[in-house]
Amino acid sequence: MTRAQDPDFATTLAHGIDILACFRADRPELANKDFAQQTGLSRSAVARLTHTLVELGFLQREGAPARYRLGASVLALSYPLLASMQIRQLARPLMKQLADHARGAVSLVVRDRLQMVYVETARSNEALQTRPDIGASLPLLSSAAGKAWLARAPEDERTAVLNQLRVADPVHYAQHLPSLAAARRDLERKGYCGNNLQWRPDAYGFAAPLCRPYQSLLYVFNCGVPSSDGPYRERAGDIGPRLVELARETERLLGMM
Amino acid sequence: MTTRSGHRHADPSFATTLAHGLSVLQTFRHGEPALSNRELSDRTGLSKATISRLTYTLMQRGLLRYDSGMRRYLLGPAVLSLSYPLLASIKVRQLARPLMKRLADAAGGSASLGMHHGLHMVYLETCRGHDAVAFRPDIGALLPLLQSAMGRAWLAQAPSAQSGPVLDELRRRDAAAWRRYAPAREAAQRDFAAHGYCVGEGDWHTDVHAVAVPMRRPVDGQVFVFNCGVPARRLRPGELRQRIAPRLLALVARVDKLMARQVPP
Repeated sequence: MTRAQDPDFATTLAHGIDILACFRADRPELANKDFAQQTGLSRSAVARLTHTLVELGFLQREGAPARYRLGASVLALSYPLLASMQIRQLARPLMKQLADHARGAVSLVVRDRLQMVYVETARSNEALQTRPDIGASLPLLSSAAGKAWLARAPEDERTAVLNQLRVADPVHYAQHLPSLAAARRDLERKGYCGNNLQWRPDAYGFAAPLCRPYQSLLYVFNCGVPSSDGPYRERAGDIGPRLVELARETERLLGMM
Repeated sequence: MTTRSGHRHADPSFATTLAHGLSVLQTFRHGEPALSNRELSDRTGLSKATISRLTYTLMQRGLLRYDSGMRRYLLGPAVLSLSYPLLASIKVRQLARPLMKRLADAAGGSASLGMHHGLHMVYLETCRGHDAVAFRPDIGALLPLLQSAMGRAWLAQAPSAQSGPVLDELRRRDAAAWRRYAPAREAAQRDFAAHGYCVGEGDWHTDVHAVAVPMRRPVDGQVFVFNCGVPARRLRPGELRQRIAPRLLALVARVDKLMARQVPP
């Protein structure tokens, strides 16, 4: 059944959300025709949605012809979610310690549909090319954090996500599937997995998931360090076990063990 | 925050279903992160059938998740992904972050950056100097304009064409609060004129005292405001004005200078 035929699906709501999702970090300003192009909706449908979103503070309109930016109402939705993630407050001091030790960035990420998204980050290296930030995303198949999620997620959730990834981009899927098996072996043996320049050419990523989901989210700790600071093996041997210890300590603090 | 969806049916160009769906998301608050179908229905005034349709759609888009153990909905991680392009486009955040962290550490409190949004200020970034405070400022948090140092600082610097309609609306919505905070608002204007900062001493969170300073130059038409909040019990008398305020003023002057360099005139 397609979405349009599904009586339980509120199409107008979904389209309005799709308008908001058109923005990118490098494209903070869009016009009605950009929305129409990206969503496939008619210009008149787009005009009705943007009008409504402006009324509600989810978009800001400027100039003529009108250009749109995201409005602060979008941002205000983040707060109840962020504030409810007790894990962020509990883990923050430990994350900062590890970031200082590794001279990198230590982050907490969860899955958002077909990507991983940062919910907290502690940096000790403002020069790091990757700039993790709350709300920024990582790919599921090619980042250490994404692979850690796929390896540890409950079976039904993993299967559903892998299917969607395959349908969305069969080539990318086929290319990265073998490294997923390796990541799973690493997690079983060592409790963490790593990424040797597969996602970014200038950084290593290491990731360790919590043992199981907490309030229906499987949290993954991630550490990114510049590749110029040392060879992969050496950095993995130092950072990996500390990342695992961070995950275990957080589980203790959350009362999960 | 209220949506105006209830009385918008007259406007044919207004997409009511979209407004209702967004009002479901806005029902979640700090302290109430998980809500059932019935609670959502009670709070939005929408029927349970409508709520089911909206929650189903919001889950498809990742904006809600369902926890079967609690049998309740929670906001989904997609709310963070949606905001990211907005946060990333605000260059002041990246530039100011190391300075804010240093101030938060020195003050033993938190330093935040916010912008005006309707009848509130909204946090764009926040750095903590310690983790023991019950008060947890964070990205997306809304602060009341009349009660908070940051709100007062925004009101004090805004030209009357900008602040006038906002003040009218505040008075109309809550006349009692308007009267109660009138002396503080006038004091804030005097403070701003004389010293360049405004203070809030327990009017918003009773145990937190804060000082706020707006940037000199608007960025993309917005005047951003910085604040520094410290638990009241950690402050000696006069310390907020004598020690914290000058540091915050210096931080903002530095950020103004860095931004001027970024955007050549």
